[in-house]
Amino acid sequence: MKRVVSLALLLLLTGTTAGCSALIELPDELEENDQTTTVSEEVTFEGPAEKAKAPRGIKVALVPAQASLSGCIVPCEAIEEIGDRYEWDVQTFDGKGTPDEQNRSIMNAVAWEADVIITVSLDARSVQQGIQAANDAGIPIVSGSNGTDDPNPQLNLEEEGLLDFAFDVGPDYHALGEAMAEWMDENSDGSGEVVVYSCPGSYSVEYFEEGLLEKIEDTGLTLDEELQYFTFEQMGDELNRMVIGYVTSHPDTEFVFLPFDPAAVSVAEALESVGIHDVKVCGVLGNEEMISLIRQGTAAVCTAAYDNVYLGYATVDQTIRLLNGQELASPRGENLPYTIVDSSNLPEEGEAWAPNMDYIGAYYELWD
Amino acid sequence: MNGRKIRNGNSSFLEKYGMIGILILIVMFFSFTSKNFFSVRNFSNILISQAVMGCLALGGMFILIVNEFDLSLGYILCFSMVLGALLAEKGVPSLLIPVIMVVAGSACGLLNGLITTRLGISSFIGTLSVGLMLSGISQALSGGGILNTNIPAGMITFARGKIFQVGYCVWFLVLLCVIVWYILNFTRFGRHLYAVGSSKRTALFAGIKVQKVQILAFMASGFFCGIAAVLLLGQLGAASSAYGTSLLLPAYSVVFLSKAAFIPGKINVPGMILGMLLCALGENGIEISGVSTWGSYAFQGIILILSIWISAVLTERAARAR
Repeated sequence: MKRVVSLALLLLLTGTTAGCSALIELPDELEENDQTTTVSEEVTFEGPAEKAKAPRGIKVALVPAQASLSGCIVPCEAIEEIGDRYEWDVQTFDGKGTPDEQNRSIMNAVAWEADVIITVSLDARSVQQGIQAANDAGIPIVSGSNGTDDPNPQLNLEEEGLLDFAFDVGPDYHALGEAMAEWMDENSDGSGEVVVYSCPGSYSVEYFEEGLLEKIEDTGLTLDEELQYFTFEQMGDELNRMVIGYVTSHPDTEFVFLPFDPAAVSVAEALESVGIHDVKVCGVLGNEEMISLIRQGTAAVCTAAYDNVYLGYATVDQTIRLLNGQELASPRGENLPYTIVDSSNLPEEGEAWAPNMDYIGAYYELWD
Repeated sequence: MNGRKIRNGNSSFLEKYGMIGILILIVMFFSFTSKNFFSVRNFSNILISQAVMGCLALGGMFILIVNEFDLSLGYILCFSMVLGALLAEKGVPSLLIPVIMVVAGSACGLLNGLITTRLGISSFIGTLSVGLMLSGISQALSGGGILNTNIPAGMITFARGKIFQVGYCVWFLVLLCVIVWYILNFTRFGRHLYAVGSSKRTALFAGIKVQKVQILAFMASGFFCGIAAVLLLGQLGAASSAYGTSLLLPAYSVVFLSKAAFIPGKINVPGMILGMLLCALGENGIEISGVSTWGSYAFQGIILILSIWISAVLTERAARAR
């Protein structure tokens, strides 16, 4: 008898749940909007013109800051593709998100006898032992996505007695910040008040914010009090609570800026879950989750996107020149394309933003 | 009992020395999968990179021997690093900085000990609370950024330099291991640690000042966190509130694994060294052989599970044998 009752209850529960699911309608703003995915205007390749023959059969060690982050792994995947073409032995040594592991990964790459070590989003100040080991072994060690070389201000770590990467390839973060401020100005339909959340410790974030804050002063937007700070460890629930608390106590806030899309995604979802729909969340990077939220018409409205695949190709280009003993291309960032992605220029679903240009073909022409 | 080591003589040869065999197998396997594995440079790098974790593990040993748990190890390490880097930036004399870092670590350990013994709060909760507090202090001291100015050259040389292809920090770790081994096996304090860990009640009735022993164990743990912080600051050349906190579980894995060698069921220094080498060589072999990045995480997880399981089984067996 007990079994029959239990089974009946189970069936009832299952039926009720299924019925509820059928009755629940997603709010219109959470249903996937039939947003237009636009093919952006074709642009010309603005990378280097001088050829640089790619070496064959070399050993390339990749050390991403954290292999689970798309901003780190997408350039690495691009480099692996290039490696397939030129018969390179490419191996990834995951930095696992902490400087001690990143340092150890570089030392593993040195022990692996790489011909070159390509790091992605590593801070040179934090991996001095690794860089020293690479230098002692005569292995060039280079960087992507740090924002520490032309067109961004060049670091002079040598003057501080520190070691640095041979070069860094990255977008013009300052210009990207300015573009974000201009977008906010053009798309403001409320109070125009902006709150900027900053995560100190990264040059790329610092330069982006410089551009953003300088440009905001030239617009009709107003900054909410001072910069709000958070740390990487606070990303997630703690940051969400901070932002929700802030916008609740500052109801005139129109734009919330966060320096990384993972943070912006988390905050946008949190704002939706508590019913705050009149705040616009802006991020940086252009990852798929953020673009998906923009597509759905949530609190996430835009992201400053740059092509991480292009970043990988540009880093390889500079690396090839370095290995060949050629002069490095200027700017080091090789005019890495960027844009502000919003609902009017979304890429195809499931894809990150990419410029409408055959830069892959252009690079292979330089290297073949 | 004076000068006598506590022995467990009922373990088989396999139980005592089986892990050495596993280590040899790992070395042979990865030497086959990657020609770069079995090289002086690789082993030298491995040992240097394990010096920090080894110091943390030595500290963790004191805690686990007295049957407590300290979740603040990584936070103490981070706090000491940030403090040291900040002092360096302010121009404090170079020789004082490592001393202050180690004293600060010991003080944090003392705080843990007092919270656990005087307030009667579970060490799990108490040390977690202290750890979170230290995390906040580290963030405040560092301003969320990276501190890397004027790191003492001596500290850098000691942390990164080598003699006979072996890092100075590795030789130092060996010295620390010998000292800890002696303390645990040939001093009254060491016997008291094991006694308290075996049974606080019995130790109390035997006249051992249980709370004092516990406090000293926590202080020792903090002391070694401070030393680890000195090494890590020298190796990385910088400090921030995000550094070092991920080393807690690997350090404990190694301490648990120590129960699987030499004196099965009992935390011991030679077993800890063996466990450390096993984990380090295994992880290095996986990475250098070209296994996908998830392989390293999977290996760490499996080692943690195995170490705790082996520790539990052998501890119970040792208790039954007594």
